[in-house]
Amino acid sequence: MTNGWVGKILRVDLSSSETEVEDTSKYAEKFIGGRGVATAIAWNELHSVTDPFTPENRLIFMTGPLTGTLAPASGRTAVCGVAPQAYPTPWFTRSNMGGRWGSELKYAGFDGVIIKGKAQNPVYIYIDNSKVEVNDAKELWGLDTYSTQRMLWNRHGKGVRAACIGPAGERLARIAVILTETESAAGQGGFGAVMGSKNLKAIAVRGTGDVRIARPDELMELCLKIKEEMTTAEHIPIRPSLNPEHVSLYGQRLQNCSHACFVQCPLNHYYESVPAVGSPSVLSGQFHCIAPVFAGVPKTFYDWNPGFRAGFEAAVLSNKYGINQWELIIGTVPWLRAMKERGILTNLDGVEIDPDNPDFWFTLIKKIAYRDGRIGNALADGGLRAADILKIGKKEASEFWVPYGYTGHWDGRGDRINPIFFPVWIVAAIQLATDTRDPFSSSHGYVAGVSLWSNVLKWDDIYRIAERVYGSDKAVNLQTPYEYKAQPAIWHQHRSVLKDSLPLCDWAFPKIYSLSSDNHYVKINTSKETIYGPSFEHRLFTAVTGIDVTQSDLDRAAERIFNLERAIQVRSHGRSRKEDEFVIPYFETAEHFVGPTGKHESLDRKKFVKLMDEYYALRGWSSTTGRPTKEKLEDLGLDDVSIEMEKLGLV
Amino acid sequence: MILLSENSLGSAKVMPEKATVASMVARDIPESRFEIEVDVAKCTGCGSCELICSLYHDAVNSPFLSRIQVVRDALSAVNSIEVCAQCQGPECMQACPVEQAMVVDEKTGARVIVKEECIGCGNCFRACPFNLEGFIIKHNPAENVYVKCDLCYRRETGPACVEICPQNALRYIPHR
Repeated sequence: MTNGWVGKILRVDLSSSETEVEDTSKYAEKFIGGRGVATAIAWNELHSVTDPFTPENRLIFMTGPLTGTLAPASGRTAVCGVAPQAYPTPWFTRSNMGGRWGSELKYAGFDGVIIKGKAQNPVYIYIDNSKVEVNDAKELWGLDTYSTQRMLWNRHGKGVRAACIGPAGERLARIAVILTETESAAGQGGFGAVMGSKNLKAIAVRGTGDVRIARPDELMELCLKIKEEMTTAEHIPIRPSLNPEHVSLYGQRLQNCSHACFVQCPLNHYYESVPAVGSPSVLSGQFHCIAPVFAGVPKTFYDWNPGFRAGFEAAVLSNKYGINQWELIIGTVPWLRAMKERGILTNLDGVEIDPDNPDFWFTLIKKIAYRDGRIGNALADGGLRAADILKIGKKEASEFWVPYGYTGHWDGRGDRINPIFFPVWIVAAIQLATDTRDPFSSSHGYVAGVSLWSNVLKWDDIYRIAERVYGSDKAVNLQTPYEYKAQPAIWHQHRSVLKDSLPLCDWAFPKIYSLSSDNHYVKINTSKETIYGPSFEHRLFTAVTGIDVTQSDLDRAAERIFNLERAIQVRSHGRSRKEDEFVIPYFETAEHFVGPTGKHESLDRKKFVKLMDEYYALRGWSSTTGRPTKEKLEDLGLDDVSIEMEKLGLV
Repeated sequence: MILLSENSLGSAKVMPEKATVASMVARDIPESRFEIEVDVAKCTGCGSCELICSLYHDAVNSPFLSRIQVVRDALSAVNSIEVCAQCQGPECMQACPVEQAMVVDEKTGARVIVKEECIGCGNCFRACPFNLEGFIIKHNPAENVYVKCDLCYRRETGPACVEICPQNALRYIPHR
């Protein structure tokens, strides 16, 4: 038994119902946990898998050494595999979810679960500490995600935590999520459909064990100090608040998503009782992140107005049916509205496209979940595929979706609610170009950090902090838009890997800016020393595991994982610089918000290509092919990867 | 034990040196002095209180061993937070059959199970009138002892759960 990790990974082959257990230590030393360990497994086991729905695809649920501990907002789980949402061809990527499921899995004694194969009939997996069952799910199949969780409590007791799919996942909708609790979901990637393709309805877990901590006193002190910083200083320049009318009418209250979260996210609310509009019922659940936009936001691009209750109902329906809310709000509905405005499409198999009308929302969500009708069936595959299938609105779709199949996110284009401006989105463009999905769910650090803190701090303060964090103020300097942008992109890519691997919540880390310190750079004072914000993740890792790696060891592990992800892209999915540059036309369109330059800026292709040259050079990747070099792979201790890539002629 | 039953109220004796509780009183069950007050409306369900509790007492993270319990099913908001009320005339202590296994910390008035002395009989678990669902007094199967809130009486800054709660849903207050 080690500290942090609980030591075992469960393998379930659904084709044979056989289970196996292997040691986590096989992967953890080099790849930490979560996204890192899942990537190592994918490298070993997904050589030629490109079809997300083949039984050979793995659905990998992986926690990390911090899951289930007191480390702030650590209760998360990575979900990885070949993802059906990626466009035009599915490829390996990751998603992750909060809630308590991952913690419960560790208390049951497992760091992760690797699913392969396909059950003949619908099944669910029940893990009761060390006992694992693959059970018939005939009675669960067809149920929504909330009813599925309730049914599992009836069978196994209320303490059971379940991650499950709804009707959308059962029907292999490429925008289907895996959901736990009321709104924690592995959303991007469409892993709900991978689960559906394996005839797997749910994984229910009950764990009564513990996670061992190497240095309990140190962890306690660190967490108490970080809590103080996160609660007394403004963590992000938006504070949560309650709406008195919603409190009295609907029982609105604050609620966290990740286990052990000290951060109170803005917009993160739970509603105890909202009378439904579309059915005679009362609804409850979490209403977070993008969910409030279902009800519309006046004076923004998303200015539809079906009413609060209908908006809430639509959000709850998408959770129950297991559909990606980000795709619906940022992609599907704006696209349909744009097509209607331009006279391309006016109705969904007879139902008028009208986001002011509650029935439009309810119909749309049901049609997608059940692949109902020609349009519902197409939309279930995501907007870019829908445009191909329906042979309409391709140009309009390109306004909302980045070429990889994911809607915009903190890039100033598809997503028209997050206030990002030139040149902050230059870093977003590099990150998007070189990733396998919308990276910002675990990489708000630069894009949201700089954009939001610039409303609160002076630019000079931000420049000075950037110099400490990234090595130069040019990383954020408004006067140097195309200089020194690869460095912060790489820095945040590595932090993103760490957060998804340790794991920790993206809105909580890395901690950079603060209102509580004189120079606005985050720091805490423990009984022994001063610790600065960007070191928090590292210090939490060493206190929990007792493994005294340095910050640069951890950064190197992140770089190793990122390079292994790239090697998988190159080996299994033919990724090259050409695909990276697919994002350029998207960024050549004008930004949605106007920044300090006073006009709508767009990407300068020539300067960006030069910037990308710099990125590949810094990464140790070939600037012509975009492939990691032999030297880089070997330097990162990926010798076996280097050998295989050489055999395949890919280095 | 301090008190075997109501009848033994007059026969208590001074605790020997080896007892793990720093300052204890033996003649009577001393008065309650402090308690943890819960404002459930403020709780956001993060579970930090449970995690720091087991971390402080057992050097592990385990809600199962936590002496404070956030009661919430996965589909609802927090319903309640259960923690020992440090009763005057605690029925748990009165039910304990073992000398020195349940004692009172003088400074905080905390009713404390002494792990080294507990025989795991479960009398306290059954006697507590608030322990209907087993959230107030719990069994640690690995060590076959029962555990309950001791107000972190050894901590200078008071109960760890109160200190970690990011929403100030817990307060350490004089006993009411």
